[in-house]
Amino acid sequence: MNHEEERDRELGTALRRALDPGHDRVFVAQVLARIDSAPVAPLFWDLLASWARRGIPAAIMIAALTAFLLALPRQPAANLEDTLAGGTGSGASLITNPAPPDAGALGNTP
Amino acid sequence: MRKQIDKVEADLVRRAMSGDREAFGQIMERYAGSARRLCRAILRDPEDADDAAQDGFLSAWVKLGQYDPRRPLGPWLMRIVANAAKDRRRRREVRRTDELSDSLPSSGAGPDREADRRLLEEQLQDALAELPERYRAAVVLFDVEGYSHAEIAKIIGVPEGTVRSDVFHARRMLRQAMEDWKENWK
Repeated sequence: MNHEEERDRELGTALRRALDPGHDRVFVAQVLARIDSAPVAPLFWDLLASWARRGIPAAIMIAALTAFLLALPRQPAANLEDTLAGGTGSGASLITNPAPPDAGALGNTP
Repeated sequence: MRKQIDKVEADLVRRAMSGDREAFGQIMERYAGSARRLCRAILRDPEDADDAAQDGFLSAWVKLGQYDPRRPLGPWLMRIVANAAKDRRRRREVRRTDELSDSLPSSGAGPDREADRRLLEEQLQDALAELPERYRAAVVLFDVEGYSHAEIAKIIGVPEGTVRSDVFHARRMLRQAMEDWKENWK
């Protein structure tokens, strides 16, 4: 606060007189009484507000991510019965054929 | 002397930050006048102003943990108080705008010096009421409370150049209003 030379002292003094409410000690006592009567509530709301400041953008991001994932095109889930019935390869025949598989097909028989 | 005061204040802040209510009371005693004058400049209504100043100090008590003790306390505190005053102004509709003019004494006040001074104060309050809110806050913080332009810029949230301009325009308008009363006041 090194602007003394720029300050309009006369106006400043007049304004101070015009605005000065006086009885600062009474005022301070009133604030202290309010602190005593409700010490927790302001803290709670302040904490909630600080959470909200961080939480709202986070919630928006999560919602956007969820919407994006839900909008992705998905392949229909494969049905086991359809796979087995429609399958002609060795996978299906291994399960549905009552006869044991030919061990010679593996090529490691003596 | 200034450093000694700052040291005392730093000690008060440290104690208040650890939950010492009495220390916070002493801090309030130091800044109550400035805070209440600033709120009166912003809100004009004395009762509203005191309520806002109380809200500001309560908010400061709650937020004391966020205060950086390496920075000056005054601007930090005044910013919270100014925001409390602006919040209150937003929440409540502007009311009783004519109260100040209603409270002016009758024209037959006589040559009494004290009465003249009171009339000047009321004239100034009326002139202040004519100014935009930002001008009022800027000129009171600068010419009455002694904050620098840079500090005021942080307190009311505008660029420093705007503060300089606001102080200049506010002074010109207040000076004009004061002119007729100056001789009686001196």
